[in-house]
Amino acid sequence: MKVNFAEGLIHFRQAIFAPQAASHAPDEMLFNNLSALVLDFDLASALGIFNPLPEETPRESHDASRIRTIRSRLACLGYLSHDSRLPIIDPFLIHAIKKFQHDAGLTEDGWVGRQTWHALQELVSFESPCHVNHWFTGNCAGPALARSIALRLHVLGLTDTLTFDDAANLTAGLQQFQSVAAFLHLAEKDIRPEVCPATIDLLFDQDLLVEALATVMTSLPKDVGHPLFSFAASVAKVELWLAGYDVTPNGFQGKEFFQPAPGKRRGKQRLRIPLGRQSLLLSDDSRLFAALTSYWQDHGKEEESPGLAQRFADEFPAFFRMIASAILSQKSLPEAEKSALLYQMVAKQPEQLEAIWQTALSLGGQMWDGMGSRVFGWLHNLQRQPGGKTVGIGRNISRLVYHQAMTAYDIARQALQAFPTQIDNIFQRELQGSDPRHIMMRHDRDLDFQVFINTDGDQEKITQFIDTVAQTSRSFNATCRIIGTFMSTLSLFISQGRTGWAGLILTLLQLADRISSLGRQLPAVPNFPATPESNVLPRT
Amino acid sequence: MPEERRGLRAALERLRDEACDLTSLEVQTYTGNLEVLFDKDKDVDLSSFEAVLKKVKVSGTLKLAAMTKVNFDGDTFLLTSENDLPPHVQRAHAAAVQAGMETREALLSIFANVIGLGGQ
Repeated sequence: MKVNFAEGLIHFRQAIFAPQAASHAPDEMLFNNLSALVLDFDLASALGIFNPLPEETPRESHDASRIRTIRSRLACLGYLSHDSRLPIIDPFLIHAIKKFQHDAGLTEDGWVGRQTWHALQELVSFESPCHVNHWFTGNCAGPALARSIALRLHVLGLTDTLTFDDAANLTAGLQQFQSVAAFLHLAEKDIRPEVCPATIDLLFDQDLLVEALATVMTSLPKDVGHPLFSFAASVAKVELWLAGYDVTPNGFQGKEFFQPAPGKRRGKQRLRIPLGRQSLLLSDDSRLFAALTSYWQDHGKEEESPGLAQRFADEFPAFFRMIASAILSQKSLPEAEKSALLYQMVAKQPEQLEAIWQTALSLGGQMWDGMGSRVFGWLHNLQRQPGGKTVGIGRNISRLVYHQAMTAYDIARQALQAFPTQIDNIFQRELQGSDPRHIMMRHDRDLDFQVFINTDGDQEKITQFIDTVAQTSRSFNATCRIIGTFMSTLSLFISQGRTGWAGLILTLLQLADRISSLGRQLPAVPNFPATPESNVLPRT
Repeated sequence: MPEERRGLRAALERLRDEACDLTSLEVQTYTGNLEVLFDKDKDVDLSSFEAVLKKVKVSGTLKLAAMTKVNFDGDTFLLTSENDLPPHVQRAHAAAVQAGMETREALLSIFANVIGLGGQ
């Protein structure tokens, strides 16, 4: 889809530039501006500038990247027999979504709204925190989690094949994980090689796994067949994929490493083979080798990069130290700073926005990976390194910009949608939930409040009511602030001549941090449901 | 007019008709035993706040426990009937004050921004 960034914001521009008659009350101006903004937001979505998750069952979708991502996620979990990469909603896809929703204890409506999207992210993405306990009932994992465990074991190089109904394969994978965890001292005690919350919690904690690989203190195992090596290579693939490098997180293929004859020269460089064990080298025709070489080059190791990539089995702690440092940078970087970093980068060259958008929209499944703790850290670290590359607008920057603006767009849209209902609730004289047996609250036209508390009332019910009142007013406050600051910043950009979609995107980028922080106060996405009792598989 | 804009129009009309004086906030918190009253008078409509209020005021079973007035300039006055108000009463009173402040602030902020007075 070709997006013209010079056209857009028609309605909002007309609303703010329309001559405001003296008789126009502020509420009339507010109505005109809000209506115009709603229309332009809808237009941005219809034209594919932004692709929010659908609010209701979509008849069709222009969002090829999301559909491809959903397909890929479902295929990874075995709900689709293969990933056709077709960006269309067909009966096979709908059937697969329903099956996943059934297994995940979600409403089986056959379309991916917020809940289903978040559930898929949690089970497949390596960055969304997985609330493992939600998916367990006691020590029994729900069927969707069981599939996710099989996938994770395979992608982390702990099983040779990806199967979803092979208990022996699952047990073997968990035993491999036990060996790796023991070597890396992942837990105080040895973990149990079985599907239980403690073990699975560790398996899904990608940041912890990276940290453990970065801080290997003891010498590496002498046995070249130790699962640590395939595990490290597979985790490296995941991390490189998340950082936007051209590699697929497909587990350990068995061909990546080879054992050279002792003393063999490769090019000009004599290979450093640690004493006491045969060395493992990464084959230079593997995609992992190419991605690692690029990674080291990007981090100022131009000359040494092929050697570092090839000696990965010995050098992996250094690689993971870089990754761990990027994660740490991201975590320690205040949200406002991240937002400013990106805004400044784009504001300097707004003419690049169209290219950024086209790149981001062409990324497909990779658009939604690597957005958590990786890419910002990567960007921040690269900017700090004197020997590092100059950061250009490439794939990573494009997806960061798109993701940041998209997140802010989604929150602003939620605020616009919530506003009428919230006004309605706020101006109900008697606050919802008032009950004379416990507590009643009302207000008059001037929003002056009267509270009545029954001395015999149930204190727990009174507390619940108070919490609801506090949440409602906080939410309303956040909605008004989001809409208010958004309209004011957008007006400013438009008055400076940014009347196309670029104005909207720059506004979103500039306010991304503030909008995201206020967005946490908006009415919450319904909680993820606990796995129903009937929907649980026994542990292996 | 599409549904969404109709909802918006209705909400803003309500806002215009309802909100009058937002320059100060007053919160009054009463405590009392309402159950006694309900036992005696089965005709009280429990879903109507006004009806309950009318009845309890007549019966004199409620007492003013706390009152707060916050002026637009930030001056705040707090009046309590006793030194040790039960914690849940304090919390309820504070929640109502907070709700009143946040709602006022929200409305003023959205109008200020739309007429170009909002700060960045």
